[in-house]
Amino acid sequence: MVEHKQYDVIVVGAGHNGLTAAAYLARAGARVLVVERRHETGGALVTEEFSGYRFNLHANYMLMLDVAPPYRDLGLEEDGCVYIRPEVEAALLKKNGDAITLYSDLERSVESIRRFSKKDAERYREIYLAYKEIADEYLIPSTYGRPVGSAQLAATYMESELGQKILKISEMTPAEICESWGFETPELSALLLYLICMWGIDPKESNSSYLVPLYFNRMLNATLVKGGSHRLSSTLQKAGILAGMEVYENHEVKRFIVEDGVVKAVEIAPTGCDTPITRIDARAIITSTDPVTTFGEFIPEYEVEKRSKLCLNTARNWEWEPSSLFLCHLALRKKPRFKAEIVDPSVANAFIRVFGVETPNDVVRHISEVMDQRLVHDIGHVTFTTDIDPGQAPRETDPEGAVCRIEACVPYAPVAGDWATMATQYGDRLIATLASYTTDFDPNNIVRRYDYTPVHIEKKIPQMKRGSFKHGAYIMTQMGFSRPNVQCSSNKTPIDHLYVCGASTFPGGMITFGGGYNAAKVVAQDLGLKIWWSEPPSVSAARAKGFLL
Amino acid sequence: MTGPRSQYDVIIIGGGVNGLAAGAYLQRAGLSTAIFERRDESGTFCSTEEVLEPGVKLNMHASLLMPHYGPAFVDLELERFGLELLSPPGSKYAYFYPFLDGNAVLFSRRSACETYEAWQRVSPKDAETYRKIVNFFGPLVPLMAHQSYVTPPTDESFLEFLSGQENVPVLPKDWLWMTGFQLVDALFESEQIKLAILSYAGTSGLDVISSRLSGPLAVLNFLTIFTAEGGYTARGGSHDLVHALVRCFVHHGGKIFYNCPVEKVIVEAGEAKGVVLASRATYPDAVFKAAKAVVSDVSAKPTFFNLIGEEHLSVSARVALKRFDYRGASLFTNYYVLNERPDFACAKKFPEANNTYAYNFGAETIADAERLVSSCMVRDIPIDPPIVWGAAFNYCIADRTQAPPGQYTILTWANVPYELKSLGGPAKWDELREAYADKVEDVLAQYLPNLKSAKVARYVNTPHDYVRRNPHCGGNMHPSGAVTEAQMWSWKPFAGCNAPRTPIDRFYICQSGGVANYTNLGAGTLASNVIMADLKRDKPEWWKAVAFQGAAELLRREGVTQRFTVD
Repeated sequence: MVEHKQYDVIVVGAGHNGLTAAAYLARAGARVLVVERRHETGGALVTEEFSGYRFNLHANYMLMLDVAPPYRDLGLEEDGCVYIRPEVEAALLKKNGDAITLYSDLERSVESIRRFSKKDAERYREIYLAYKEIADEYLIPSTYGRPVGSAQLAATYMESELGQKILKISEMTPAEICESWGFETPELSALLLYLICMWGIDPKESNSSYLVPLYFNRMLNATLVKGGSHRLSSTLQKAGILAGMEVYENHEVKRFIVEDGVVKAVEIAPTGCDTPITRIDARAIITSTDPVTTFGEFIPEYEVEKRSKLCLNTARNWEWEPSSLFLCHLALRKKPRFKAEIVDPSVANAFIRVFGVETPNDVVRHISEVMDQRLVHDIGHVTFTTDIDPGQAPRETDPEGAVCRIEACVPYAPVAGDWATMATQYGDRLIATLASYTTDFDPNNIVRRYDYTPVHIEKKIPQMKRGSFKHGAYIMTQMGFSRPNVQCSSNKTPIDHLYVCGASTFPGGMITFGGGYNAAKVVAQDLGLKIWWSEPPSVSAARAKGFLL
Repeated sequence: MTGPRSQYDVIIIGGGVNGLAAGAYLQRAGLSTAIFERRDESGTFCSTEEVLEPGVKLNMHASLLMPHYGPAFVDLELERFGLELLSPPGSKYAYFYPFLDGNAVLFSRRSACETYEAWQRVSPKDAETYRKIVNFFGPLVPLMAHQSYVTPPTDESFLEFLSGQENVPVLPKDWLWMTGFQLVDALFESEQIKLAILSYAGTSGLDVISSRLSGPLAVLNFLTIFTAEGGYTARGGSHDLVHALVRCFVHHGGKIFYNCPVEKVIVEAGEAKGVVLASRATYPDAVFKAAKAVVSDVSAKPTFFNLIGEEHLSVSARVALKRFDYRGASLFTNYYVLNERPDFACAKKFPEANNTYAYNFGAETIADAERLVSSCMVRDIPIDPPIVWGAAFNYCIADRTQAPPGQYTILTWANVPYELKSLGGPAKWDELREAYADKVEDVLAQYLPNLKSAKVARYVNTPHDYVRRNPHCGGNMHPSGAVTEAQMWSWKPFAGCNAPRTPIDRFYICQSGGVANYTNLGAGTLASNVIMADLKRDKPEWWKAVAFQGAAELLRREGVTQRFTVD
């Protein structure tokens, strides 16, 4: 027996993009249902509690929360979701016990670099300000609007000084950009290149180089959500619920019902089960799934082919990311001291402490090895979330309790073996490496440990196949106006009433809210709903300059 | 930072299931309500986490869900907000107790007749005794149960209750002044039946069954009301109940603030006026005012000593609270992921056991059970071999979504002392974790032969791990505290408290009062009823469900009629 239900809008997937689209549309007056296959909403914003220690199992560093329109439009701060911007954003730990540290405050960074090189300090300020301009005027605003086609964008670039700067950057590889900075302190170059490439950007490919100023700027302004990343999605969800949005968890989509090129309904069943099937009809269906799932699994091939050979092609040839992440989460009774704290006490509170690289070439070589599915060097970074937000450990029982996260860029399918057998050994290696940078790391202080491998990623979030946490590679054919393809990057698809909003859609992955925010506007327009929110002035300004449609 | 507004009608401290239920009732009734939660999530003791493998949902505490047992399930439309209660398809029984000789004692989830039939296979004489008891009490059950959700227990109601118990034909004289052990001994002949009854009554705390008053009441409660419980989990895990409550509360306009531990309740001239948050809260040291009521969903000791302050309490209240007892329900948890459906040894003789949600095991004789109780009361060394009387659950036979296809999660709660006095204190549990889990595993394997061959993974929580999650209840799994003759009915948490009212005007508790706290949401429902009465507000039209209404409705959908008597 098939049970029937009817809504205005169905959102498939309750990640941050799905919840954002749903909350905006619910507030615009639509009857919205969100369908989520897990028992929790939030997607990558997942925080689990291990013996009172809160592990942000996946997303941790919020690069865009402070500038994302939904944070303000949906009143997330007023509803108690607050973020903390660490004073010390990043440090590179050297084997010899020294370290270089960077701050969210530009002048403090300049001061810190001056210890190594006066010239580099001044140069850093120049680069920081130049990239800040590009980020503020172009890259951040363009996350929250419709993308411009590549030919037109290239023409626009030529028309302004800012555009020409972007063009110049986008023609170089990140490694070349790093070299062009001309720092005489290799550790500084290495740290910055690491911060830019840590999300799987290939330092030897120029595909994503236009993102370098954005990542540079955003990594040095990264924030942490107080109480754990999941607070962010919970608060988003509350905003939707208050506006009448409904959430149906523990159910997965079996298929989309498409008739004559129009999507009419979804059929869902409890996660992992074939029955009972519920059919839900809607005027618009927004999915945050990847194109392989959307066009290759949810819709019969002939229906896709009828409307778009391109979408069929995208589904068949979608490329997953060549690298993934490994996270070793530790609950510690007591936090160790870093050797480098003696030279630079700020290391004690640095948000991201990078280890294992001391020159830009170390970064380039490591990522090349990872892209070749090899794990040679123990390179990564470590964050103690409790340095920034002590409440994430159970301080009533464990007064010095600390939550530690060791993170590394790794291959999905290492040539040396599979993650099921390698995880513990590799985690041990990372822990040993971390210990070597401290004076008093004691394994007996580990209360809980959780190794989150690329296989865990794809099991937890099936859109992240092969541990592809941005839902698909950042390659030329899958970027910007072409993400997931030129027909779908503005959220509409060739299937009428079907929209896409996930990380596989422009502007891409990470917790930017761009996909959900943009989809909400398109769907609201198509359904004739009142657009109750107003566009941020920076977005309007970027549009006026031709950077957005 | 843009902060929230600072004035509400009602402020609730603590977003557990009872705080949420009280909040949802009051908010829906038109009182602006804010909940301040210490943690970053609602429902400390009703949580589901993926701490093992992705797709494997582990229920970190509450597992036998019974919101349908109380009125809130219907009144708050919890199903509309996504709650989906599930029991194993086609299951007759909610609970079983297996023995090494292959026997099992089963309890029906829907009909006293089915329990009677199951017991006849173990002891026809005891089945007859059961029939007499339920036929006497069965007709009274629904009304008695409903009273506990709407009317607070008082000294008068206790006296009235006592006077009605002087000559109960089916029970021994002075039955209320026996312990639970003594009562089952007086009533039944089969040691297996006695153990099965005590083991279940003991899931609300071992102190209960060894106490007078509370012990025999727990036994009677179990025999008569159990059929309303039904052996349910929720789709996606226990935390789904919290999601439904949160959504109901938020949908009606309620505000929840996480990471907001309350430092103090503001008391002026004997009246609660609001709360001050702790300095580590999201809004450090912020003051929030409550025009009509402040409600604490925090356990008794921290509520009165930390939030209110001794200066506002009488000497007798202070003394009683100092002695407030949290013993008796410290649990040691083994979780398993199996790649086969659990197949119990007793299923050879009692096949229904394999389709039953809850069970206990390990004590084969009354002497075993007595050793278990005394080890927990002495608070010293855990019993070896372990005994699982805290309950055990077979989640995935009820809800396939709690593990990936082909996998099954189970849990066992061995009763242990929290304090580990002579071993150096509760922190010692971290070292004992895996070794004691091995012992539990060996015991379980005797009753569940396919455990070791089907085992994919194990996760272990000690009582100390629970205290890390919620430090407010001294290692007890029931934040409401022990239910002993010294703290129950109208003298819980202390005589003269008049819970859910308190000696402080406009200050209420929805925890540690007379009503035991389970996921029946009783304490929250009762508190909201009392607050409405004190505010002299008429209840809205939707506020009208009676106890068991939801339970009967769920069974009706299965085509079954709930029966509290044996014809």
